[in-house]
Amino acid sequence: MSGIFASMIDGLLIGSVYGLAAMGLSLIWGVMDVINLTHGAMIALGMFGMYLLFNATAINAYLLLAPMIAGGLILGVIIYWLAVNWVVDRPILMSLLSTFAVNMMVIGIGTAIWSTSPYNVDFSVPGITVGEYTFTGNHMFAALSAVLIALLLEMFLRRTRTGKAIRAVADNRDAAELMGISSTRVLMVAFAIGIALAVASGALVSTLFPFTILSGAGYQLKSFVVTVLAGLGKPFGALVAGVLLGLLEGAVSPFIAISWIPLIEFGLFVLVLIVFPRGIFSRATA
Amino acid sequence: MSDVALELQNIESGYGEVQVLWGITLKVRGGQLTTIIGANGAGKTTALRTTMGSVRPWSGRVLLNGEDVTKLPPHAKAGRGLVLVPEGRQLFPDMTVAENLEMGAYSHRARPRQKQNLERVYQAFPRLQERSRQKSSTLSGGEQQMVALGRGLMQEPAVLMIDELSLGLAPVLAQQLFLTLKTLKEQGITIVLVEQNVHLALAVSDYTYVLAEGRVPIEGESQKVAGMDEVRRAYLGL
Ligand SMILES: Nc1ncnc2c1ncn2[C@@H]1O[C@H](COP(=O)(O)OP(=O)(O)O)[C@@H](O)[C@H]1O
Ligand SMILES: [Mg+2]
Repeated sequence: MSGIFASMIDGLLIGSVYGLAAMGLSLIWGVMDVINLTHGAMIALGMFGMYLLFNATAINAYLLLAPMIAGGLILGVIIYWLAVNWVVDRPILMSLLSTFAVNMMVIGIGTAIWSTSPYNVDFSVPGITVGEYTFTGNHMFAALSAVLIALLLEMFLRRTRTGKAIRAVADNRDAAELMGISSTRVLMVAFAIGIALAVASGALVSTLFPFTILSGAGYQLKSFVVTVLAGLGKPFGALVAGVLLGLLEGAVSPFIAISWIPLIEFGLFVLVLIVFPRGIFSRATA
Repeated sequence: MSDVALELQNIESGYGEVQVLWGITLKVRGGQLTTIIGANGAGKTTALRTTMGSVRPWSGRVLLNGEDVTKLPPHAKAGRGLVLVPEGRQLFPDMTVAENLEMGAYSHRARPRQKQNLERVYQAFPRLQERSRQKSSTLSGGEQQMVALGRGLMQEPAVLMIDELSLGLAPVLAQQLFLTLKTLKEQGITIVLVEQNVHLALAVSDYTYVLAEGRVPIEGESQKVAGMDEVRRAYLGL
């Protein structure tokens, strides 16, 4: 009885990390209509980046999020100019191919360096024990970090000049140009933020579970499910939907083998696409 | 203030393979209200968008206060005070009225006077102040047009180009917007107006260009153009 409850709490905590990852995917889609297939690879790089950085510094892994995010932003700018800028206004297939190519390169290089064997970040925060169950400190810190980053992003988009420019470009790129906003610069910034979110979520996951260079793929899949649940291009909705997905996983995982979960998630994905094509948070609009 | 503020020299442009403008030359004098009239599909919108750079000119030059800005992207032209209030309003639908107006003051040029300009806009359109926290997509057509015009004013225009000021508006509101234009002109703003209400356009403007099939067959002081037989027949229905 308390088993499922504990499992759902765990799911809720992990779900906020799913949500953070999905925010990155959702932001990039919302601003530039690009489906970023480097997403999974960036999550994996976040895992290995955290691994390297933690082993090099041995300081609190959650403090290392700041340099990880900075690195993610730089990486995002590089990928934007290499692979995205020239496909932004082309048919969607072009950006799918181009980001998929980057994905394959990153995974290829990563496999050469780290092989596909599992790694883990050897850091743990003491947990809290309630009755017979212990909530691990890492889960709580990861969730807290994810929510904090999500709130900071939301404030950035609502309050700052650059954040508003991002929203304006997402809303109407031509009109944004007329206002004196360099839309190319804004797309670059938005893409970099999207990548940084993927990297940050990967870094958080690395403090929870062992991982390989291929682990990003599973989280990419979850990000797609979450993004579709939330409605494409709604970053904050993605956080909420991520938490919902985590809860769902937590609720079913005591009863079924873990390998069934992707199947359930994909089933949900298809179902949502059919029933709520604009996401569960959208009212029917004409 | 009768220097040329904006000049198009032999501009050709179009979409893909389709040519729309076949070498048009326009001179907009500083402080004046210049209008471009012409039938639907004549190329008026294309002319303004090409001036802005949203549509790339195929050949010809665009000069802003004597400076060649032909190759600049729209945002760079906006930064120099060339402002377009586009056809169909083109607001930011998910942003509030206040945010839409704020985006008008985005450029370095417009930012220092953001506060004064906002007061000016709210004074001209008190309705917008009442609705400042509402999403722009929830406004009526007329209110949206006020936001579009207000946003253009927030941009601190040197040359203000307006595409279809009164399209789809109730006559009373159209009148009000035209009065606003007059005030703006008195404040020294150079205005280029595209307007399907040719009577009004000719009445308020100083100089008129007639655009037909991507060329300029007729131009002149608005009073004179209004008296021409071919204009009266083709555009005024007289
Ligand atoms: N985005 C576009 N793509 C292709 N053709 C267009 C586009 N916009 C306008 N046109 C064509 O260009 C011509 C001129 O249109 P436009 O400049 O909108 O005229 P006006 O504003 O005078 O009504 C028309 O034949 C129109 O069909
Ligand atoms: Mg038009």
